[in-house]
Amino acid sequence: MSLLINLILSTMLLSNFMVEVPFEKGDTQKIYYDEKYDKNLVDNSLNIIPLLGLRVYQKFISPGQGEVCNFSPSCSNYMFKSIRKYGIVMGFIKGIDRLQRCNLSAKTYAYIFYDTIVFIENRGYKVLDNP
Amino acid sequence: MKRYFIFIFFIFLFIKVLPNDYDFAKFLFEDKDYYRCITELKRQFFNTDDTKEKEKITNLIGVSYFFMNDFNKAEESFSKIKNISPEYEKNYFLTLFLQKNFQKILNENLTYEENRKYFLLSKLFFNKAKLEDFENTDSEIKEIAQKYFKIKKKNPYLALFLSAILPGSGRFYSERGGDGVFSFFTIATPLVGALYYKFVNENRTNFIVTVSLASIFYAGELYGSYNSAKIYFEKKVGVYLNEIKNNYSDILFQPYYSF
Repeated sequence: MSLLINLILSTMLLSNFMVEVPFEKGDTQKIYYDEKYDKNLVDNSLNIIPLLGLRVYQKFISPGQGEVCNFSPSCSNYMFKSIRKYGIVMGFIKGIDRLQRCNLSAKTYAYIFYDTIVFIENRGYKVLDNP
Repeated sequence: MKRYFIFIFFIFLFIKVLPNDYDFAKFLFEDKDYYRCITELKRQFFNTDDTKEKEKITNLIGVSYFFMNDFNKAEESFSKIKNISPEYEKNYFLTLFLQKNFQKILNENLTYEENRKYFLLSKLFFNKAKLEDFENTDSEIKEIAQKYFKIKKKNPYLALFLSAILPGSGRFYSERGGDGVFSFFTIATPLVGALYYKFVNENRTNFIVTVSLASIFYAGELYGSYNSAKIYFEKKVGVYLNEIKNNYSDILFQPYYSF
């Protein structure tokens, strides 16, 4: 019973986060947030656990690191969107692949393997790569 | 005499006051103020009753949208006049081609034979052409096709196999050396840690953590190398398409217009 209550509470918490926490650092979700992701959601309650973990990371750990990601959306947001779009297994693997691609060479592959580089307020120049 | 003088004076006045209808639109066009040029052209379109003039204005509106990179509206304008002349049809195909709407070009009926080159180019970039199709075409088109067929395809399963043996090598195969080196270290580092906690400093918890990390990154590496090889050809074709747009901008990718 307590597990069920915890699950419901965490779901409510997550749904609140979805509204309140922006998808990007800064104010970029207005520009790049694609509504199609919401329409293609994988309905899987297991998603809640990694998504909540990602939100906790974004809220408490990521600000300490500063602006280190080379991409837009950032790697954590990419994994978040991937898990919502492809489910927990494939989304997680795609997120890990993105972490491995997020290195010094990312910007040299722009206009070849990635579409473009965009300037994002408060974040600087980032390589655009959506899941 | 006085009467003649007044008559000639009015003729000159008429010439001075009423210049060519398209002069201002042409000025705006040359000034690259396409947005206001379209407004001026639409005004001319409203004033004229001549069908030929209307066709010409429709084309000019389309070309203005074309130079504004608003290909949807350009396509809309050109589609109204595409069957009237080969130049207008060329503009229509060109707009579709630059939108990468190759399927639509292939589905269209070709009215004028001189525009077959756009049809062939679409077939080429839609990956449905063979080198033999370009034997009787212009030298530029042949050159484009030859270079296209030189773009290599990468086998995703070979990339997967390479990465399974040596992490990172699959990404090297897909010409992503930087990613390959980085992903190799993301796997090698926890793996070294795991060996250390297994054989040197025996610690079961740390061993499990490091092995799990290595496994997670290994899974990511396998997927990443497979995917990078899979999208390699598509991405290279995209780069090549941009290259030919720049190299042949005057010959193939310049729309027809006249004021």
